[in-house]
Amino acid sequence: MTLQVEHAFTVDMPIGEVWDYFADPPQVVPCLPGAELLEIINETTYRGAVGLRVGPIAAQFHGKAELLEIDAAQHMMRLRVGGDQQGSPGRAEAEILFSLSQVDNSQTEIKIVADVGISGRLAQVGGGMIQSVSKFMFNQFAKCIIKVLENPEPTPGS
Amino acid sequence: MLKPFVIHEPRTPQQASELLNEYGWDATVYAGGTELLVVMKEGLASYAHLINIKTISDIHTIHLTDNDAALRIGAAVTHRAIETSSMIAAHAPLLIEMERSLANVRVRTMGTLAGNLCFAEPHSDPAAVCMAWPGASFELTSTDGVRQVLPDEFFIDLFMTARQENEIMTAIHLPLLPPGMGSAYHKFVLLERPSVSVAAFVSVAGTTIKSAHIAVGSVGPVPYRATAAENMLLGQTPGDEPYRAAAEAAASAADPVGDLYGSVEYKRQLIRVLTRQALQQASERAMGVERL
Repeated sequence: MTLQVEHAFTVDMPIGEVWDYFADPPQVVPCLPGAELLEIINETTYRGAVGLRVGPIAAQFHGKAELLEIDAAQHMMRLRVGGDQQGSPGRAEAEILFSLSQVDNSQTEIKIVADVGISGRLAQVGGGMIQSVSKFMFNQFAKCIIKVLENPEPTPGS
Repeated sequence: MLKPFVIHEPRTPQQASELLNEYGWDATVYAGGTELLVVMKEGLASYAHLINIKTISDIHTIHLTDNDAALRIGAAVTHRAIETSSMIAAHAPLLIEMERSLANVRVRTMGTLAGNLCFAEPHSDPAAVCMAWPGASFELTSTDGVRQVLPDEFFIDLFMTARQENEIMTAIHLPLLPPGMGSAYHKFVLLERPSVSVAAFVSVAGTTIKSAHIAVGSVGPVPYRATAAENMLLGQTPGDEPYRAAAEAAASAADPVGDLYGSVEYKRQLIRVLTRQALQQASERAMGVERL
């Protein structure tokens, strides 16, 4: 099963600062719902785990995220992520286009367009209404990013 | 393959709630198991502790409550028990009509109405019927007490409900329909669950529609009330024209999610057809043209 998902939200922060935050992927991991960074393989490849939990359904994926393209001038990056489900035959893959656009001097829109492919029994769950899951997870991600960017923890000692 | 788990057998809803408090995310409520055990077997859910609520004594019955104005269906009552209940046949025959067509007899023999509602699978038959049922509510019990939750507050998202982690659903309350109100449930089924389902409750006095409740299920993560369609019908004379207009409004209000059961456009067209059919039948039953 493949599907395209598209989500966007806005943060109250200039585009340059938002880009600096996202240009360092390990920094973003705590905001990815259920995600854990297991290993930095090289500058553009990371090994990680993603846990998905929707009501009683829980699936754990282990896999890789690879930065395919990064364009600082256009505030855009392309990533490929893929992982195997743990404990059940199944796989999830996605090619993600991440981009920032300036709303005004103090506001930035964060947009994600992803082509997601899911195989195995998970694709059947809920009759395949998996778009809703992506929306739910993205909302959690957006909430976390807004919290982190707009209310940064004071740096210890400063 | 099912991973090993421990089954707990509480005697009261409070004991069940205590167990849920104690084990947190490692535990879940188990009644019929027709939904839960399937996902556990597929490795899509894993719980070390299952709280079997069938051992709780006072949630196995169907009886009249609120001075005989409502039905109370205990959380451990199976679909099959509802389907064959003379109490339900006398007071809420629509429920029998819905239950007869739910999944298959094996699922109905084991599965419970409350379990179906709590699992919140987006293609649930009972979710759509309860959403439209005038005055329906769900009783949730925990060590903190008992509360009644309305269906539109209960269903939050795909597989997600307002039930807190330490709560169990103890009963479903369905008020008896007043005289002059008819009900109908129409669905289109290709696989085991509906592609789209519509529940309608219509009150008619003389030749005027006094109230309409319409809920559409299986289209998105949770059923929705077609409120614009309901309002359009008030004061109208029952007939094909207002039903077509209301069906169109119900279809425009939908935000369908394409899935294995149908595409967005397919589902929208089914909403038009099924809403019209359900309204037609509910109003005929309200006027006594057809008996349920």
